[in-house]
Amino acid sequence: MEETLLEVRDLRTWFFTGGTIVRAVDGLSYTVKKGECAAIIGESGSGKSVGALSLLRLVPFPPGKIMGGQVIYKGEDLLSCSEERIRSIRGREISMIFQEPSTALNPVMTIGAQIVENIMLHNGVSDENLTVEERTRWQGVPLRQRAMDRAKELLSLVDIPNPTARIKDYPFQFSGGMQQRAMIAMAMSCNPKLLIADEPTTALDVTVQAQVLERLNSLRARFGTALIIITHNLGVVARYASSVKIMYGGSIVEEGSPQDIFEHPLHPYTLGLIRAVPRLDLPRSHGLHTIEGEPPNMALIPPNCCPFHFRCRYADEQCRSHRPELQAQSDHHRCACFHADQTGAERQEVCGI
Amino acid sequence: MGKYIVKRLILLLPSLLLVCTIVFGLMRLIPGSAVDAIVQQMVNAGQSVDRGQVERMLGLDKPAVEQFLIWLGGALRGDLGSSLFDYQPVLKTISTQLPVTLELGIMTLLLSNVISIPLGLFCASRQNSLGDYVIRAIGVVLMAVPVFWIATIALVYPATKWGYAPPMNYVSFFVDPLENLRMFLLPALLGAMTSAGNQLRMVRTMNLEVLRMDYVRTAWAKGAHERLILFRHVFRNAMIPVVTAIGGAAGGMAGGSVILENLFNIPGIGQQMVTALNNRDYPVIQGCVVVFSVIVMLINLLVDISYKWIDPRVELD
Repeated sequence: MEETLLEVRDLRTWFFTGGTIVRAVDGLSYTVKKGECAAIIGESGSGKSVGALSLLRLVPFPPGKIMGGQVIYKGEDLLSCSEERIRSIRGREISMIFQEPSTALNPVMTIGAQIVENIMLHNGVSDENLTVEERTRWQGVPLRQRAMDRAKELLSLVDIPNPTARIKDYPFQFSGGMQQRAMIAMAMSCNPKLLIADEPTTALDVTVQAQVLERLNSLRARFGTALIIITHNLGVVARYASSVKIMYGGSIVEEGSPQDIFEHPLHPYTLGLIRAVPRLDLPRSHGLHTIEGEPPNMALIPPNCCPFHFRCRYADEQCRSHRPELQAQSDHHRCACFHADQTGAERQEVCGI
Repeated sequence: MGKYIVKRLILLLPSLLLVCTIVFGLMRLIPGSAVDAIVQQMVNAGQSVDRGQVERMLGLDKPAVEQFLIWLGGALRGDLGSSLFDYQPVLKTISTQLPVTLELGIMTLLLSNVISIPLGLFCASRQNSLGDYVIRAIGVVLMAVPVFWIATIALVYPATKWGYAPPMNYVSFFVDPLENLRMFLLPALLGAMTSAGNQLRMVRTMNLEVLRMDYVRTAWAKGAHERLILFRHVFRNAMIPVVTAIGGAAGGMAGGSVILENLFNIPGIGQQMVTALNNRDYPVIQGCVVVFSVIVMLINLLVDISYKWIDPRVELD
């Protein structure tokens, strides 16, 4: 059994806007193992980004507020620890990269200065945090100079050519893909145990997406950093993830290995997602499949029902009055649906198994 | 950068020529003329006057274009003419009175920024807190209070209550800095308070806007503490519009505050300008306006250069 790195328990982050309560994240629970690549999938508004920001208490208040739950990292609850403690975890133990690299980097600071800032904030190049080899190499070198050298190493690690020169560049002098890779370099600068990537490739050119993901994954493998990739791209998941969590309406509706999810999906929503992937092997007359209805308005979903029942063909009275819990189906495969046993026919049609 | 500055300085010349033309033209278009004022003064003094002779003496009998060219020729040689009333060379008047006004203006500007920038930052970082409300309320009051009223109170109240008044005789900073500052501090503070109210609101708004940016969230995610985020990440990005406003305010302050100069007996250029305007003292007004224009243009150049310094994305040219 691999070691658990992070455990999210019953996380609730609500937004209070103009008298209404939006339960953006409502009862989110999952675990991430050391060094694994976990994917969280969901459509816009399913609470996946808010859930990720909540882990590091980065949801701005007002209007957002974490109403309950725990985020256990190495036995410590990140939601109840001191402000100072969470600061020492951000960027050092757990770091984040964001969807839009062009706005996530400070436009008036050089790339180098922004990476160095992350290193200096966490004493990343003080003697006690160096390997023996680095300590001898950097003996007598001032901290800032060490941090600059480290920043250059990091940039070349993410394939930025000529880092010595590019380190003095401003973000606007980088292309989108380079900006995101610089973000990755910054996020990796203190060797975090966990990297949360919130839709890291959504804003990028398709040709660059693979590059960035490849880089993320190779760094994960090389440094043993666990990775949470938040995405709505099923292709990304199939290729990189070792575990998949499908999010809908603020909580997880199905989770399992990629094989479980792609070959043996149980939840009607997961089935709908897979069915919606465009297929080149079917004649064009098939058209593109969509999930009926609209993404839920989180302000309007009553707490005591299955959030998917408005759009679900299997919904009955029970779905409208009770919220289904995640139930283990096999070893790691869990699904929150009262009718998981009835989706077999649709599964056969969608997956052909 | 050097090339850019030289280019801008060269471009200053045509603008200046335009300013000269407009000022000269406007002065001749205003009803009434310097001759009227002089004739009136002489009649009041019981002298008999020949209006035509006065006009000839002052060179005002020539066609306007010729007058303009004569004046322009003098200006190009560094001679802005003399006052029609006290016969003092305009350049001498400006060079003695403008520094006084500039000192008051610079002090006002500095104090205004010292007051409004930290308070604006505080308000933005504690949006909708009690402190934010109180500071903003005070800011609105300061904006609304007329400067002559608050300045009168600031003069009269300490004088009657504690028998204290700031010095009323101007001493140059280079002769007695302490006495000079004692004289200027109160009027500068009063001027600063009124402009700080306005500026504070802008600093707050701009910082609030920047606080919502993605890169500020990135800074939080790096584990930076609030002070670092405010000063390193937020403040600099919020500065551009603030600098623009400071530039505008600086231009206004070169013109001097007539009210403050009057109340505190400061021999600045503001008072001189008003008198000259009332008398239609053409050379004085034209000279002052030209010098002000140069100052305002130089300030604008400084503001533009500072954009580049604040934000590397800005392309000069």
